[in-house]
Amino acid sequence: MTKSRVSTPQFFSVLYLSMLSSIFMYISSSGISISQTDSLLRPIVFIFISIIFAIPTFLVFKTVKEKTQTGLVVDDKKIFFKIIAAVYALVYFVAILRALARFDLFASSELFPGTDMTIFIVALVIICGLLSLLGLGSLSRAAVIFTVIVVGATGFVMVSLWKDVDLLNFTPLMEKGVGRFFYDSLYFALQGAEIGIIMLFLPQIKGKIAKTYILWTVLSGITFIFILFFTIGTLGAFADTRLFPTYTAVTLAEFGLLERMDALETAIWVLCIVEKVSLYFLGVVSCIKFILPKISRKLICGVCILAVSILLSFISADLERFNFMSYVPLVIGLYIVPVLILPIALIIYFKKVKPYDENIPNS
Amino acid sequence: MKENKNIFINVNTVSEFEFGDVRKNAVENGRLIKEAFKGSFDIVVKKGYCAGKCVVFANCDGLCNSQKIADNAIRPLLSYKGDLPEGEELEFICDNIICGTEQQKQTSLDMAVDMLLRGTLLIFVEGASQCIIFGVQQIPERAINEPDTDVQEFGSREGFTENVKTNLTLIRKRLCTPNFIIEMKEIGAQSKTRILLCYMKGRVNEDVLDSVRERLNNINMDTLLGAGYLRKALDTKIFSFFTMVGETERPDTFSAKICEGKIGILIDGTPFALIVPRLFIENFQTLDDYVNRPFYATFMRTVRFLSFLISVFLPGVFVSVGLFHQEMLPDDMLYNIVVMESNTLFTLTLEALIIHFVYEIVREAGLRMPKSIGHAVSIVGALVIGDAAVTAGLIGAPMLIVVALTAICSLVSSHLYQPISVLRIVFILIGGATGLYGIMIGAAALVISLASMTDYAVPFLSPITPFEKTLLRDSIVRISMEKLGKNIFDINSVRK
Repeated sequence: MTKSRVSTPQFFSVLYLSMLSSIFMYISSSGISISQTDSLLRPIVFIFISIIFAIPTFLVFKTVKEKTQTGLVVDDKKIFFKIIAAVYALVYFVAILRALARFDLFASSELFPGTDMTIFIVALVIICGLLSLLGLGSLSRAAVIFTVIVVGATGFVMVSLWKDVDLLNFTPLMEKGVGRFFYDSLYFALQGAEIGIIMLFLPQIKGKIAKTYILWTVLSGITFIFILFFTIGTLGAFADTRLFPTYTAVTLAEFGLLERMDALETAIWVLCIVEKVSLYFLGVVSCIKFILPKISRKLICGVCILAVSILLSFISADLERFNFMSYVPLVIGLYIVPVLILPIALIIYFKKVKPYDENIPNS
Repeated sequence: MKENKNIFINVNTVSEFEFGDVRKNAVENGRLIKEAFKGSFDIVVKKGYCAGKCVVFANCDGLCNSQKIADNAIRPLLSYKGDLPEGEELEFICDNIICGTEQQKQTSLDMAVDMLLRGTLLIFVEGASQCIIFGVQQIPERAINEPDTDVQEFGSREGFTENVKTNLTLIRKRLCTPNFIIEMKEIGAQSKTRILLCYMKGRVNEDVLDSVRERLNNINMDTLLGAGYLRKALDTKIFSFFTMVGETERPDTFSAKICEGKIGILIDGTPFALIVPRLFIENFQTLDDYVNRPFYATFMRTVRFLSFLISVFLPGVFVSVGLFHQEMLPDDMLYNIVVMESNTLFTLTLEALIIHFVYEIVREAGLRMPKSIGHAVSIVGALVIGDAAVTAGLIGAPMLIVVALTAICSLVSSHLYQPISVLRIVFILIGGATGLYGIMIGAAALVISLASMTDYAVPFLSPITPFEKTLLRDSIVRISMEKLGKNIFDINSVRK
């Protein structure tokens, strides 16, 4: 683990891109409508949930602050921490699979319909795995540039959809009831497992973390509202019939000489995927390195790349397996385990056992 | 590190000892020198007498001023009629007989021979256990001309030459301050090339300086014949497309960088000086930017940056749009392109690769061939290959336009030509295989790898990322000199 520290804006830029990739490739799940105007309020619920659910993470960090040696919060040689690290590694390994499986589905159904994208996806896995070896600092610094590009391009494309926005597409609020709204909002909020990965890298971040975190959730929420506004405004109820409604909305955009901007826009979205998968790879490799300190990071990364590639080839062979990656209990598990269960387990452990020897020097 | 410093400055410690000390027998010294050079015709050894004592002169013909030797050393010595004080002959000769500004005594014959090869005159006096090294150097050198690279519109017309002393003079006259420090070192077991480490005391970071010294001290090479030889020692990421070691042929640019707290290295025998560390943003800056008005400087920097992007990505994007994303183009434009490309033999990817390969051949030929036949190659390249290839249906006119534009853009930031020429081939291949998505993944990998470059604790992409608000005022944007002057750029401020 590299010990160089990154600033909060840099780190949260990676998370912002990671969150954006979720909304860009948001799948209309069975029973959860995106065309309802309620969708515009879901990001607000997302903001509140993200802030509340992050409390255990910050409580853990407060306990171990400035006492870590390798950059991981779970920085202790005891078996308990190794188990925690193993669970983190497993969660983010599955998160990598889920993100890439969704991108595979997106690429083979929308970008190049009917084409087997396995080789392309495997190439992406290899590149992301190798980029993760460059460390959090590299990913974070590059993310600042990517954020400017992605936000600029997305803003431009969405605004160019303005002429296609039909206000009649906006339905009355809470049409299906308050309970249904909260269920849908909760599902929406669980899309991003990014909050959990903050836990792993907190010691490596310098600056006002809590303040930037709140800013990040608010900005992410506003971006979601912005994108959903144009998606609903242009597509209306048609959005529910599309697998990737945001992409469908983008295909309608045109500006000047460029008659279709979807290829350009989706190419820019790829930046988000690269950042997201590279960050998750870094998390997985760091955790495994912590568990097996004698094995080199390159070897661990190589094995992870191989494992992800094989599993993705297996998943992409059958649409049912794609569906499994969007299975609601799995989505909930990927969120709850790193965001709530593991931090709470650490808090309980720290209540019973003194977390760190005071004599350990700071990293 | 203190020990390293001493090693660095002291030339004596890096010499190989073969002859031992100077013999008291002056003739014996002359004989040893002759034997060492196997009677080489340019090594001149002359014997004479001064106050009854045998005196031997040795010099390397062609590296010294013969007139100076005759007028200031040989004639005064041989025509001296008085006595030489016993045991203090050399001091007496230096103080009273020969006249020159550069004289020193040397006990080691090895060092004396080393100095002989640098154009000095050696004077051996019978009975003295030392020799006099008399500075009469006149090493042939090129006149100070305007540099061929780093061309400035409004800047100085002076460029470095192959003589390190001349180059040092050019910098000294621009930096009239005792804070400008120079350290000397010899590198190369055979070439014994002198390099000068230059920095500004008070502005340079001591850690960076120690790091550079250490890397230079660890160099173990036989010959050092150019600036590029040192690059691999100063660059940690030698497999990267980009480098954090800058190169310049201009004393004004060199002086400006020294004032920013960077470290410059002058190398004897080459007009190119090295500067460390170099930031990515500096590839788009010139000294003219500080002469021009801020709005124009900003505009030109933007143009240079866009030229870089065009030269790297345009051929790849064109290939990918042509093969995978035709829907992006308006119908009329797409129709024209299709009509022209449909008459060609090759696929867009192959076409792009061939024409870029041909361009690189023409460029290389233009660089290496005698200048007198340069026009002929230009005509062959532009008319025969370009026009005839389109007419013959080997390549399409749109591709030729793309390649021409790319070629011109790649010359805007000359320091980046090497990475540009390779990267655009890479992106043509990626674009041809995977379309815009592959190009974007490649671009992401490129940016992340650039962001990972940190040498001497300075991130390559600063001040953009990590973001430095103050320094951003002189990045792509250049604000007025009055405001810039209040906060002079200092490389230490971007160190992590």
